Amino acid sequence: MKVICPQDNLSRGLAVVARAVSTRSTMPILSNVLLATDGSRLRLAATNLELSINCWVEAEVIEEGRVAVPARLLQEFVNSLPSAPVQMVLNPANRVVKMHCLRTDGNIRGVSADEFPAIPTVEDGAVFRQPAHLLKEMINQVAIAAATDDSRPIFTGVLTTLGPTLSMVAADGFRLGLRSAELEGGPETETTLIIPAKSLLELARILPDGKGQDEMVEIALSPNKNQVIFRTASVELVSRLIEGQFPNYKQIMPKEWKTQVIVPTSEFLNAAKTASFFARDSANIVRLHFESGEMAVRAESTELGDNESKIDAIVEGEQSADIAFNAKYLTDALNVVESEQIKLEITSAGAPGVIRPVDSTDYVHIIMPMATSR
Amino acid sequence: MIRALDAASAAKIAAGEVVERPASVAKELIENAIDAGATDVRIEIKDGGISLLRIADNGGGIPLAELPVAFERHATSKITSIDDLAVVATLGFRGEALPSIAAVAQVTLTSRAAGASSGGCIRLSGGEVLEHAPAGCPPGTTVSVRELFFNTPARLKFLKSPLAEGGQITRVVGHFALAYPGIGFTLLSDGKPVFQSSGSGDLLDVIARLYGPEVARGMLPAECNDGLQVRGYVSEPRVSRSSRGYLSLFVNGRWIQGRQLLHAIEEAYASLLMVGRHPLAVININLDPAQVDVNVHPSKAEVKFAAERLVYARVHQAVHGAVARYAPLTVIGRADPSGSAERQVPSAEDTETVWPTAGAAAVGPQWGPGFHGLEDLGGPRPALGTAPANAFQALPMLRVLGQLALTYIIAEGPGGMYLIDQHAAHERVRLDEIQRSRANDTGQAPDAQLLLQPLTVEVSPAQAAAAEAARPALSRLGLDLEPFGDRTYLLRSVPAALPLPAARETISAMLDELSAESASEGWDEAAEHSLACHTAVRAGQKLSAEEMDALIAQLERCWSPQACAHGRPTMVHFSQAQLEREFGRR
Repeated sequence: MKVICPQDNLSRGLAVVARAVSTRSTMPILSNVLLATDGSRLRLAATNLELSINCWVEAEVIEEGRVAVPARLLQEFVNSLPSAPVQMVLNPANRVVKMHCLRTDGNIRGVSADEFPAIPTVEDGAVFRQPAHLLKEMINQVAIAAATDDSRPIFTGVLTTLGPTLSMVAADGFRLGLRSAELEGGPETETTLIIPAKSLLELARILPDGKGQDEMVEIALSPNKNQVIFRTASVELVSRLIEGQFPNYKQIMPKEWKTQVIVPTSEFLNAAKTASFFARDSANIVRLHFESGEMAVRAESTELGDNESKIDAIVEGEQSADIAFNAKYLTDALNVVESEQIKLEITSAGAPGVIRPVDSTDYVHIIMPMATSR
Repeated sequence: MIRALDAASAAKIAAGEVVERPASVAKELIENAIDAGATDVRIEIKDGGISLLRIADNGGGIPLAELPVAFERHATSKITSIDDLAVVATLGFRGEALPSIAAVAQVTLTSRAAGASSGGCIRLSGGEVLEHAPAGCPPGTTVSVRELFFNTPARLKFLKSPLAEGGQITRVVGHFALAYPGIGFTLLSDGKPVFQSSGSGDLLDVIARLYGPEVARGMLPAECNDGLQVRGYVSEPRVSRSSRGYLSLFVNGRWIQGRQLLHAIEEAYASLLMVGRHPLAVININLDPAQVDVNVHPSKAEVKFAAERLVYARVHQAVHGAVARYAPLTVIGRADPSGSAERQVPSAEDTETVWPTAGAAAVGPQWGPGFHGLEDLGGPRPALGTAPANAFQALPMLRVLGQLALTYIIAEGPGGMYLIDQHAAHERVRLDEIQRSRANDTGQAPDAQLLLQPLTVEVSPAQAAAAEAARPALSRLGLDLEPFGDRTYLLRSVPAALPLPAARETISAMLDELSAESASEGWDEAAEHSLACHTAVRAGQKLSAEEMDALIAQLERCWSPQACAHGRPTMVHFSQAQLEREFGRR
């Protein structure tokens, strides 16, 4: 193998795959990154068996070949190099990769590429396409509601339905995020997958943002339907799926409300953040009080003090109401609603609160309130 | 053949009930001295009180003519009829003590009644009056008891060594000194002074003389005036002993055993003491004599209360209040320090009974001017207060150095090295969080996070009973379990402070623990502790430097950072000096 690749490209590519590098010592091979020539590109690959990432970088391929090298050393070495072409030459006899960049040289001892686990790819089968920025937005809106601990694995996943529309749902027992969008080329019959939220967040990290770009993401299932593949022009992310039955979230969705409040998102978010400082010491409880066209956001700590912010609101239905939420859940939700104003629908202090963007119906965030004595 | 016993034998048998050992003689005679209004009582013993026990007081005395009557059975000046028993305010009243003692020893009593120009003397042996004559003596009464049990060899044989018997007497004198700080007690054993109290009226002064000034500095005033009067001192949690021998309880000036009440005292410390450690306490309970029956047993060590639960609650309240005031942060968690006692005493009838306390206060021990009022004692005590009031609560500034054996956090502080048990420390932090958001005692709901969808929790047959019994306590913590068919519950909410990711596992582990304890009362506390324990980091869990820093920071804000929920220490201190010694630097 003999390749010449600009340092910037190589560094960026390594950053993309690094998140899939395993740090577990049980399979030392997984701490390596695979370098393989692929036509006129260099393929970088890493896997922790749950999540695998392939990244292709533009390179001048002089001689084909493949090898696995320690990911961390390679990444740190490349990042330290000046912005100039990097030449990599593999000595197949001892699997040492000789690296050269301007006046810096390095020899990195690798292992046989054959020991590196095969990363599944999709040759045929149904492929769906979704604009990258939209998919990124959907993931960011939903994955926050997924559980981060493994006690109930099903909740660490995002229930993803591929049909005429693409819908994503995540819940952690206290809150639920649901986002749907039209799916280009979506099938008539729905397919549901449970994708680890962690994998989706890695995908979102990789995907470009900015609505101006028209890059598309291809979504496909592996032949044995236990892996999902997301593919852009230069990156392919393969994730294991979570097996099991996702609880029926539809029965949780409140069907009616007694009070509906429309408030500016950023003002609400600011008020919630301010309150969260005071709530920190009292179980994160933030209280909302609605009264005559105003929403009061309050928090108090017996030890530290209290605060209250008032926001003008359009209140429909019952004019006076109270509800308390965990500050974190509230700010998490308000952070990801892509709308200048939100609707908050509540029924009672003990029933779920619903947050929606005011101008669309494709996002719903449900938060269970906190029961408090005050 | 049945025959009536002769008078001497009957007297000896009756004496056995009252006079078991020298200490019981001392107790009876000191009680007489106190009932006679003495302000100074001297006790002198030889050979542990077996060969000589002499008690001299400066009390009212007995007129010469009445001396023989004093030794007649059931002769007493303290009550006049059975009706008086209901309101008996003196320590003795049965009229058994003197004749009983006289029946089994050689007794000499000299006494000069108040106002009389001369006194009298009476000498008895085995109950027989040998001499009765006028004698010159100082005001007051002196009783000398020699050769105790000389005529009952069986009982003599069962006496312990003079040292042990003398120790018993010392204990008895100590009790009286604690109950009557206004009376000066002096105890001499074989001519050497053993104990002396000043009679200044300051209870703390007596404590200092009895247990040492160090202990006295570590005592907290306890008081509760609600239906009855409870006053005294209890030790800071850091001052503890390995036996209950330092718990002294007095009812209307009478030392009692009262296991229930001792339990109330220890209960109030909750988790602040290590397993096997006991506080020091001197608790005086004053109530209407009509509300307490002291005539349960001749030695009067057991008493019966008309409203046992109320007494229990008030004692708990007083002690808990003292401990809570001392560690100010508790007050935040439990605004009303009486709360936990109230919870365990649900009986309405008891708490509704309100007794007049004026009468009780008048007949109780005299709290001299030296006894501080509650207001004085809230702050540091200038007289003995060298230790700051919150010395125990403050945690030294700690810098985390690392983790040892995935179990202990190594930290450096001003005084050397500290090893902190990560589980114990986190358990304390959790317990504080839980107590802060739990239901308070006014019946308000706890702070809880409701679940999006109820979680089904299935319990094993072994857990079922505990689940049912502990359910109210769990729901007061925010763990709302709703019965859902056969051994199945729906969990609807979790405590606000703990998102409780593995709720099912945690509840199951808690129920295992709770069913093992089989506590019929105190579910609340058991549930709190269990929840704190099961949500705290475990030993063997790797902690990052940030996590350790955060844990120490949280621990610093706890109200008793040095003990975990079960009373085990959270940290061990290796002083600079200790380290230097180990390394031979000095």
